[in-house]
Amino acid sequence: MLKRLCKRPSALPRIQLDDRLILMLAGVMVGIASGLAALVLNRSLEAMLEFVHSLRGHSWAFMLPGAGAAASAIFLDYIMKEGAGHGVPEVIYSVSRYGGLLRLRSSISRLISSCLTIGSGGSAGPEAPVVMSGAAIGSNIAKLFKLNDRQRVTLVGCGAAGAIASIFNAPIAGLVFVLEVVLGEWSTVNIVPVAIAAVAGTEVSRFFNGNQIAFSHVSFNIGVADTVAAVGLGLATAIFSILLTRALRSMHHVSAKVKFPVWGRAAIGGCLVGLLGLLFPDVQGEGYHAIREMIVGDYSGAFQVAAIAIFAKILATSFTLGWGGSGGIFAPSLVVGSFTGLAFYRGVTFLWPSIPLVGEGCFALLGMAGLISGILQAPLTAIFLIVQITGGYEVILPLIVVSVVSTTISHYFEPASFYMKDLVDRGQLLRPGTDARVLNDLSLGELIEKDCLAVTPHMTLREFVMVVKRSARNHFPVEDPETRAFLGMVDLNKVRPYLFDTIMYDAVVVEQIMDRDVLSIAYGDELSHILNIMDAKGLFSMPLVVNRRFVGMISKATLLDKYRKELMVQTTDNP
Amino acid sequence: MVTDMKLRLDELAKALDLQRDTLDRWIRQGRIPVKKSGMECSFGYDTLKNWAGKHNTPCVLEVPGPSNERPLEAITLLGALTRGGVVYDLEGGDVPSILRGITDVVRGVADGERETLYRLLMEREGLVSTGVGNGVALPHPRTPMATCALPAITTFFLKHPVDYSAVDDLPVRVLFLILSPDVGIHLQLLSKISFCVRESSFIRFLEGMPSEADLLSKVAEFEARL
Repeated sequence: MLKRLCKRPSALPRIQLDDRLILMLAGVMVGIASGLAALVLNRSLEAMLEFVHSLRGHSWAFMLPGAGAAASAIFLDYIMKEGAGHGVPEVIYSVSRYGGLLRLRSSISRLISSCLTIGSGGSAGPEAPVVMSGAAIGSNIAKLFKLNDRQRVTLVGCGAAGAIASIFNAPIAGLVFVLEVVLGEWSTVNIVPVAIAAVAGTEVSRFFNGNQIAFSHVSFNIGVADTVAAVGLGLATAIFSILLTRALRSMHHVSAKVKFPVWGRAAIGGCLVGLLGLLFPDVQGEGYHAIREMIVGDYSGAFQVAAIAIFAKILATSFTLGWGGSGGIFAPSLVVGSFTGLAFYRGVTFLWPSIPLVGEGCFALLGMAGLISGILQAPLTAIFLIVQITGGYEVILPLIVVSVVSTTISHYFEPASFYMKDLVDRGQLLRPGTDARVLNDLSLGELIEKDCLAVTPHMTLREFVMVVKRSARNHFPVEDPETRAFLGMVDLNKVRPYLFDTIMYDAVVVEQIMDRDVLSIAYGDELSHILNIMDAKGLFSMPLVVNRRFVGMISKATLLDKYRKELMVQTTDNP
Repeated sequence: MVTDMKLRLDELAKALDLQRDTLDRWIRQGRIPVKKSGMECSFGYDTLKNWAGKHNTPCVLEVPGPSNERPLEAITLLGALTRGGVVYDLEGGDVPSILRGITDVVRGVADGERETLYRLLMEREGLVSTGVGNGVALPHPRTPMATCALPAITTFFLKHPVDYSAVDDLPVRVLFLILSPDVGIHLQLLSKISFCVRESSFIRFLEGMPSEADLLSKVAEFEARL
C-alpha cells in the first residue's frame, strides 16, 4: 500500500493551503519568534542590571546611564542607521502607510539599543522595542512567504501581540493591544491569527520562565468606596498622563536645540538620569521592582516621597527618551501610574481616614491602568493588561472606571494618543476604512477620465457646436494647435445660451468663450487637497495638466464611484 | 468545485471594469482574491464571481459565445428608404383617409397590425400635426413598433395635395412614414430626414415626383453631406 502510494505521489491527498491556514501557521511562527525576542531582551536586561548593580558603589556610577544611552545612540545611528524612536509609532506608521513593510534589521536593532539604555539605568521600557522587533519579524516572514499587504499587516500584528503577550505573560492584553493600538481594526481576518500568535508568545514565555504572573497577586476586597474613589484616581492619572506626554515632547524640542551629535545628547540625558537616580533610585531602569513593592504594600516612602517620585520618574523618562536614549514608554507609564495610585491612596486616607479603602497595592494597580489608558488612549488594553498581569479579576469595576475617566480626560487635552500624535500631525495615520485611507489609496491615475475632446482657440462657435455634438462631456480643453499646450477650458454650462443662437455661430470664436485661469491639478497632488479645492470653489471637476499638456479630467462623479468601490473593498472581509 | 482560471492582467481588469492601476494595487494589498505572477494572474472562478457580487463590481468572465445580438449596422437614411420603398398617387381627400391608405399598403407590417398602426398614427396626428412644412409630412407612431425589426421609411406621393394642418398651412404632397424599432433610431432618422426637407433644392426635387432610383440617389447625395 505504502509502496504503491510512493510510486504514485499524486494519489496522496493534497492539502490545499488555504490563505487563512497559511496566516495561522505563520502567526504561530511569528508569535514564537517574537516571544523569544522578548525573552532574550528580558534575560539580557537582568544580566546587565546585575552587572551594573555591582558598579553602584563607585562615585562615577551616575555616568553609567549616560554611557549606556550614548552607546545605544551610536549603535542605532551609525551601525543600524535608524532614528531613535519609541518603536510602536514606527510600527503603526508602517502599517498605515507601507502595508506593514519593516526592515529585517529592525528585528534586532531596538532590542540591543534598548538593552544598552535600560540596562545601564536609563528610564525607559522594554516593551516597545520588543513590539518593534516582533513586528519586524512578522513583516519579514510575510515577505518570505510572498504574502500581500493585508496579510503582512496581520503578521506584523501577530509579532506585536506575541511580544506583549510574552513579556507580560498576558495573551489577551497582547491581542487587545494590537487590535486597539497597532491595527485599529477589529475584523475576523485579523483577530484569529493575532490571537494564535498571542497564545504562542505566551507559551514561549511560560516554557522558559514558568507560569509567572508578572506582579504577584494579592487578593483584594473591593467595596463601593473604591469604585467611587476610582473616579478621583482617573482624574489624577489623566493629569499625569498629559504631563508625561507633554514632558516627553517638550524635552525633544529642548534637546533638538543643543548642537551636539546624537550620542552626545544621549550622554547628557543619561547622566542627568544618573544624578536623579542618586536621590531616587527607583526612577532608574524599567522600574518593575518598584511596582512589585508597591502592589504588595511594601513601599517604604511617605506620601510626599511618592508624590515627588511621580515627577522624578516623569523627568527621568523624558531625559532618557527625549535626549536620544532608546526604549518605550510602557514601563515608565506603569511606574508613574503606580506611584500616582499610591500617592492618591495615601492622600485620601490622610484627609479622610474614615473612608474604608481597600489598600494601597490595589490603588497602585488602578493607577497603572489609568496611566496606560491616558497615554495610549486605549482603555481596553489597560483593563486587560492589569487584569492579566495581576491575575486578579476582583478589581475590574474600579479598573474600568479609572480607565474610562482617564482616557476621556486625556483625550480632551491631547486628541491624539502619544503614539499617534506625530502621525496625526503629519496626516499619516491611515486607519483602514477611513476617509483618509481611501483617498490616500486612490491615485490620480486611477481616477483620470480621458474622453474629453480638445478644441483650439481659433475654432468658430459653429465648429465648436459640431464638437459638442460628438462629445459625451461638458468640459472642453482648449489647446494651442501647434504646441498642444493647455490654454484653458470651455465649460458647456457657461456657454449654453450662445449654443442655440445661430447668429453667433460664425461671429464668435472659442477664444472668446473659454476660461483662461482654470484651476488645474498636477500629478502628485493629494486627493484630499484636490477635494478641498473643489469644495471651496464649488467645482465638480478639474483638469489634470502635466508639463502644460492637458491629460484628463478628475471629476467628483467618477470619484464617488471609485471611492465607494474602494470603501467596500476595504471594509468587507475578504475570504 | 473551484475552477482555476488564468488571465492576463489587462484582460482581467477589463472584465472587472477596473483600471489596471486599481487592479494591481488591490492584488498587492490583498483586497481581491487574485494571485499575480508576472503579467498573468490566477484566481478561482467561483471565488472571484462571489467577490464581485459582494463588491458591486461587474464581472464579465464568460467566454464570448456567438452573440445573439442584432449585428450593429449603421442606421442610414438610404437603407431605411430602400426598405420602405416608394408609393405613387396615393388617393385620399383628408388626413384619416390618407393614413388609412398608408397603413393599407405599407410593407413589412402584418395584416393584423395594420389597424393598430392606423390607430397609433391617428393618435399622433391628434397630438400635433406632423406636417413639417413645404408640403411634406412625416407621420410616425409615438412609441416604437415592437413588430418592426429594422427601421423603414416609406415615401408616399399624393395624387392631390391635402390640407394636413401643417405648420405653414401649405397643403401636403409628400409623406415619409417612419417606422423604427426604438426611440434612438427613430430620432436619428427623424433628424436626418428633417435635414433633407429643410433644403429648398430637395423640396423642388420632390415636386418633380422623381422615380424611386432617382430619389434614393438624391438622398445618398444629401446623406453624404451630413
